[in-house]
Amino acid sequence: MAYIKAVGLVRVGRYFDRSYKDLALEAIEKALSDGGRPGYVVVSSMMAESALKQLDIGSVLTEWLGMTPVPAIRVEAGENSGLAAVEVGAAIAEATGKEVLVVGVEKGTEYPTTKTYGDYSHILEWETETVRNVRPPDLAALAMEEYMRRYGVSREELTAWPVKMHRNAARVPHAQLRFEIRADAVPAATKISGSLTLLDMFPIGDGAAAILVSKERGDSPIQVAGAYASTGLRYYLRDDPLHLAATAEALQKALKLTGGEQAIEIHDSYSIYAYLILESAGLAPKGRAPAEVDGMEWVNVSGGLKARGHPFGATGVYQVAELFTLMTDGLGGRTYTGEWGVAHGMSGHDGNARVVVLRRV
Amino acid sequence: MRHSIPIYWRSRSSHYRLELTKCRACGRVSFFRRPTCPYCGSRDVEVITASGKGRVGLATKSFFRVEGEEEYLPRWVALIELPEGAKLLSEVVDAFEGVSEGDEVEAVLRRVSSDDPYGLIYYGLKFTKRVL
Repeated sequence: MAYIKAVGLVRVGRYFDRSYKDLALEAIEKALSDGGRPGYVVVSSMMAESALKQLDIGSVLTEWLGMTPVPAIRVEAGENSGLAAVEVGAAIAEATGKEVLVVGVEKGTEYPTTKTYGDYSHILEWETETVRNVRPPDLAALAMEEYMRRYGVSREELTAWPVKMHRNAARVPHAQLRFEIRADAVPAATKISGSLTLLDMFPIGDGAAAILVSKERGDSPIQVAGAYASTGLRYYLRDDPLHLAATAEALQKALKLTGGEQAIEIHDSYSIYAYLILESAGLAPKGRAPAEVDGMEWVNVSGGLKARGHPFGATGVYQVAELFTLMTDGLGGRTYTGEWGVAHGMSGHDGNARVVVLRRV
Repeated sequence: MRHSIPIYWRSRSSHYRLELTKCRACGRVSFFRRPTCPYCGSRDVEVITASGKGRVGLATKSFFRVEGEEEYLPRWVALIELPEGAKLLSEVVDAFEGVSEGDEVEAVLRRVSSDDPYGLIYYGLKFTKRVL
């Protein structure tokens, strides 16, 4: 088992005057401020080719950090890249005994949003979806429509999630959207697809997060106790698009470990996905999640992708760093004193799902 | 140039005809020409050409703005159910009065994107409401 020694977070935002190197260095310096000396660097970026114009981003960062010749690799699994990097980093730490620096970094604002949206759309399959002009929010909008019909849930009831996320993010210093919203603003916001609006969707932003993972416990209070991953079929191949099968498989294994008592961060790229994740994992009855999320105290304390933000490849590293912070120093004025933290990520409509479990030791 | 000739040309049969993969092992039918059944993993599959007729499951009017495609907005994107037993996601075009669940549709060849203003054009299948 690997242990988390330290974490570093940059506020998610729009940094037109700062490069991905600047953001990564800020996160890394925070994570290494206690004198950690990584022997390996694992970098996560979903948009390195398209937005950063950089391949082999690992060796660029080790050079800019003055850490050459420390080995470095990049991990990519679409929107799930960040948690994949944590999983790979923890495995390398266990296998080699080296301290591993896991860095997630993304710049969503280097180009106009329409280009970023286009690049992001490549998380879907190119031949059968992307080139046919099907985009990620269209899948979420179709699922949302199906959900409202099947369970008789209204558009207004589906506002519970974004309202809660903005309320949480308002208290979190590194969140991108630190303001509360009214429920009636959600359906009235800019239309994205079908009933789904801009306030049901993550904002585009830049960010970097880093964690230092070690095989040696030292004085670390938090262990990486497990990582579970699964893949799922494309939306159009699914018998039931409202059941996120890959998420269910990964999360249910994690929840067996935790016994269902945990602080959890889930991949709410669109509001509807938050409800589907909770229901697919068994954390809420089918069709009931919108009515129950208000009572869920330890779900997405960060504000989630919706309001903390979603710097694609960095998001999973943020989630793990946030859970670590929530379980130690506290996040947004709250401290989770329980034993378990669970971070869930997925790419697109549950195509690639992954869960990292943290445990207080 | 955003567009590649080889990438699109290799799959032209599935872009220009409505090709489905039928599994001889589990019997399920899936969209696009595939070497393997996505449901059971069998390689004992055959490619069939669908009739082109279909029915709208659910549809969404999309305003999601992607570079170079703004002029086509809004688009109707629908889950199309085929009588052969497969489903696919597709644009529904010429739908001036909207698209609803249960609409009868048929496949038509249309431009899906181009290297504007002077580059390659990708053509592919979309759907339109069936009148005959």
